[in-house]
Amino acid sequence: MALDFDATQEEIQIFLAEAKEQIETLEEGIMSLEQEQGDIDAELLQSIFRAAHTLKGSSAALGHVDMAKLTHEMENILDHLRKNTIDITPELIGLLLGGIDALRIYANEIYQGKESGYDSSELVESFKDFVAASLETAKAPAKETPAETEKETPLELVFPDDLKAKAFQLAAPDKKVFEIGVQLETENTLPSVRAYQLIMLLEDLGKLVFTQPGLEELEQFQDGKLKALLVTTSDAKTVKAGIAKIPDCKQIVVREAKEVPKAEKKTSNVSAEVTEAEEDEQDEQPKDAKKQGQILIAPTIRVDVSVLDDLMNLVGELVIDRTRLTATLQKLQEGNDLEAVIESLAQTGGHIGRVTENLQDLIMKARLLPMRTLFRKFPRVTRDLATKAKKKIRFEMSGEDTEIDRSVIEQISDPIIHLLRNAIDHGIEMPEERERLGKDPTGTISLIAEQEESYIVIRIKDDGKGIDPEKIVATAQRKGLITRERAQNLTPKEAVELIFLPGFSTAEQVTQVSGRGVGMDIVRKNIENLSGNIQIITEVGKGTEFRIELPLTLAIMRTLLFESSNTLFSIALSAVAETNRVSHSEIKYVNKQKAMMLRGRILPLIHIEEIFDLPAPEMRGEHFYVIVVRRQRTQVGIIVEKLLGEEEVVVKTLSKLLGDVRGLSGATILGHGEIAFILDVPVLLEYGTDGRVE
Amino acid sequence: MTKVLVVDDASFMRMRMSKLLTENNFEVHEAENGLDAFNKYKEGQYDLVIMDITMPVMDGIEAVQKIVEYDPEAKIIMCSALGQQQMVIEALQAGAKDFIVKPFQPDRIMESIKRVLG
Repeated sequence: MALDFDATQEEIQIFLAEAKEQIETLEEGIMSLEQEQGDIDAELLQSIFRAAHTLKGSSAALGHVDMAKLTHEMENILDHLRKNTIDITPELIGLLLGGIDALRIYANEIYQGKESGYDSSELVESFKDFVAASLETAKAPAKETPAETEKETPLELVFPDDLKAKAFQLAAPDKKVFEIGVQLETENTLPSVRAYQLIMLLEDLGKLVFTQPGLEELEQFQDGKLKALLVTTSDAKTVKAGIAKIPDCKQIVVREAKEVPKAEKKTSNVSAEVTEAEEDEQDEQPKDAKKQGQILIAPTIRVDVSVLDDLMNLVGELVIDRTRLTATLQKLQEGNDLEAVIESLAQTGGHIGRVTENLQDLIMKARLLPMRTLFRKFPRVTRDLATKAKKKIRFEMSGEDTEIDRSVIEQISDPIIHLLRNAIDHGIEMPEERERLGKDPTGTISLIAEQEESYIVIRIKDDGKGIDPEKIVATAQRKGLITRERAQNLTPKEAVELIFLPGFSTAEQVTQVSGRGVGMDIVRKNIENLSGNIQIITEVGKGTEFRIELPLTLAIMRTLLFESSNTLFSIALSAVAETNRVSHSEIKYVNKQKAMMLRGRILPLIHIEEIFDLPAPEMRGEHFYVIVVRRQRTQVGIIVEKLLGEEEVVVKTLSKLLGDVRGLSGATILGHGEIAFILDVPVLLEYGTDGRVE
Repeated sequence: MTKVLVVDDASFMRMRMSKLLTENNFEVHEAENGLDAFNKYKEGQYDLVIMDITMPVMDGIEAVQKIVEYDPEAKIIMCSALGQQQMVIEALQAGAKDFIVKPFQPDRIMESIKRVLG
């Protein structure tokens, strides 16, 4: 069913952005609560409480009733924690984390504009039960909560005689004693605050002899019935009118009290009674027909205002340059002083160069996001996985401030989760096993990000059992992924890397947490699609480290530039292992395929032109060049005419100009305006082999 | 035109409130916490302040105290959630004039404003 809210798209967008932050604050806070155990940071609790509270308010305002109910219960629990009336237990943390998952579902519902079918009422009940149970057991016997059944009984104005007598004692000839009863609205308001306001008002009007509730009892005030005895010079109408100014008064009774006869009992008559039941103003507004359909929201980002200011300044500079160019053109047309024109052009050109360089830097920076945005979800993921695997794990992170292109962040999340899962499922041993081995029963997994030149390195390290190359080889052979001969020739490092072969990861490794059964082959592919690479450093018994190298940005790439058939090409430097100057005589033919020997291994060779189904050119000259492209164990040599050197290029997609061309991942415009084609490394590698003769 | 300062840490809530008030011909300004509100109040001659309670940096109650100390005539309406009665009473004691309860009902807000502006 479609979800409709009485809110504009812009409002919903802001709601979602804030909700996301609040949910993250909640999750991080709850995770640290769990870690801190007994030693609770009041500041932290306050900030989590605030997040739940704000989210409750906003979701109620938006009209997502279930979300508001859920956040209300979460807020309630956090309030108890804050007041130290309940303790932090693993069960509680579990409940709260469950709440966070539910909030994410609801936020997504709002994003999609469709009901998810998820129902949090069970969870809400468990929150209530938990609070009730902890208040009963942990602390002193719970206070008897006043029965709520008396809520809607009619107002009864009966006051003890001694109180009335006291009131009449105070009443001088010109003063009257009024019996006052007010029925306050109790739904969707704060009756106790209204009662407070009423008491303040009555005190202004005269001498307040008695009120029920009294000022001290306001906290327990629930039924909305306020009674008071007031001695005043005002008349009943004035008193009533004063009371009526306070909202939420459903029924107001003000009547002059009859003096209680000292001895005899008389049936008391009501002399001046003014009652009026006010119209219930609580009526829900008619829900008018709202726009149908889904709420479509474009991805948005938050950019520091100062960045926008800087951009504006730079654009301003460009505008100045434009003016100068116009002026120079005019000079040129007038035909005077050619030298001045040249000088002016040179200056303007230089200025434009500097400005555009700054612009590029700035835009790059705006695209960068701290790793934190990605890392923040991992403590939770690790915790859940560890709990499921019944392992004890300490999770450490560092380098959250390292910045990386936002598109990389989006695509690297799944691979990291997969590696974390592997570390927990297969790396870290069971606590008993670790103890037996003389290790700390709690395993450690570290997630580290750091920048090395124009690369971001992410390392996922565990102190578990490491990867045993022999076992990997045995598994690979059993699954028919490698031949026995090949198995015998593998170095330990190569053997370990067999885990990247498609089909190596087994079904049993596909656990529920990441939800999809990605194998290590997919992990590697994802990383390589980002022009990155992954390496394994492992030692049996000590642990394993996965090292992922990623380019800082996908928009700008360091490449090797070369020329062949009068065309410029460039290839990601990350994929280039080495370049060699080769003479014709070194080319051999293996199965009619060009190849050469490189340090004892066969390197298949291909002319760059052949990749695009063009005839290989005649190689004039004695020498030509071979670029060795290598990823993992696959390598291929590309024959090119001329190497032009390294170049940092801005990657442009081809799709609008040429459509997809096999073998090309994009193009770039070089300094002098020439176009260079950027080669698609995975396609090149299809021509490669692992360099062994099978 | 009546000048109102809407104080809330959630911009969603500010937006909603501002929209309602603008539609009812108020000149609306926003502040995102108590301190911000106090600073803006000092600069800006506001006829009315609508103040959230739970906010970072400075909460609504402290802000009421500061504003009322600065301007005893200040007209402040608290925005409260159910369950915050104790805090609302505190705010009233500090000099706030009335309160409204989230989720907001436009009629009740306007009613409260009318009452407070007298």
